Amino acid sequence: MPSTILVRGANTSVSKALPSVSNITVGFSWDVVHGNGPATEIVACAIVCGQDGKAVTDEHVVFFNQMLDPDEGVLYDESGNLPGGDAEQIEVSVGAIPSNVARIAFVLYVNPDLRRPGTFDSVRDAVVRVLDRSGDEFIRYPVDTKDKELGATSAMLAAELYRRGDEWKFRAVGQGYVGGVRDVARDFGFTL
Amino acid sequence: MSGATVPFLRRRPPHKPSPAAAASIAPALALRQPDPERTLRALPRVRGAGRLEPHAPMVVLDRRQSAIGSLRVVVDPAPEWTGVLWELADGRSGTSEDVPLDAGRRAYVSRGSAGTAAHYDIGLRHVRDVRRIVVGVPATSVISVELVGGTTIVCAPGSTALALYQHDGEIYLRADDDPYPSQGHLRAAYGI
Repeated sequence: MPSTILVRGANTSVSKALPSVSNITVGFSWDVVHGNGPATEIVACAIVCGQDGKAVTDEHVVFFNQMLDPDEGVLYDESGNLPGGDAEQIEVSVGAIPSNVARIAFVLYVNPDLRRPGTFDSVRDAVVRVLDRSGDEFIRYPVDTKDKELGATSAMLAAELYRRGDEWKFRAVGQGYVGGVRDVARDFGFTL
Repeated sequence: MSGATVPFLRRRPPHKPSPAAAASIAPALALRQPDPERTLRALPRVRGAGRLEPHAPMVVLDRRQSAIGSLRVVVDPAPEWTGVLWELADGRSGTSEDVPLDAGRRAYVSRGSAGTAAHYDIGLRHVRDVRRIVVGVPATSVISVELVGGTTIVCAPGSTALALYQHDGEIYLRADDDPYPSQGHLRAAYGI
């Protein structure tokens, strides 16, 4: 099955494309343009949100140092040996997501190191994609980090998996946050 | 958390009785030994403002505090000497003179200054690579810690060292008021 390519703002149904699949993997990849100084360090995370659009709890923010949400439906893959060139992957067991969860937001942020953290200006070829259990890609969203507005930011809501009636849909968002992960935390209601 | 022992909580190895003596007393000791994981869970967490006192010298940071942004250790006023020791999970160790740049081309800990104070920035993107970092100063300076989320932790006056330990993705901060006349004494005490 050919991969569905999404542009910013577009969405597609995961449930219709993969009706029998209960586990999907969201993969993130990017290239950082290297200068002489410290590298811009990108982190992928998933925020499990309730009906109000906020993180259910602080522990529902899944990333490399908080690898499993309390409902055990969202898992950060720490294997470090990822197929298809992904830098980071997060697995979603769609069937294990409780009914109070309305969406899962996938965020990329520049680690706000006090020493020259950088922005998405130095990031190229960022891609968010969705894979089925066998590793076949069925959704691909090439993020345009060359976009002037997005490039100046240091965090972005890249995509989201959300409920619409009985189905799960995936939307390419590409919304930047000038204030970085602090703004993301404020927007999604979790503490840093 | 795993059931692994936590050797860093004890600076010096415990006295080991001879095998024969150990065999004779092992059952009694086994009933009375504290569970180190339980001890760790009982440590206070801090958000907003915290303080490390001689009677409560240790706090633990949560998984977001431990891994997002960087952690700044401020020493005010900047003293005539500061000892900075680091030890990585892979066994490498050293002082501020030889910190490797293999984590995003950033030193695991690096020095800066502002006004009368010196500060030491510890990048948290690769926190799981770190086993411990120790900053030692004369008792005439005050040590404090600043986190990206705004939390500040101040060590009681007279503190001479702040040790940062990473265990299972969480950072433990411990203040120490033993006198260390030099970095050599600090190294000898901490075994780095």
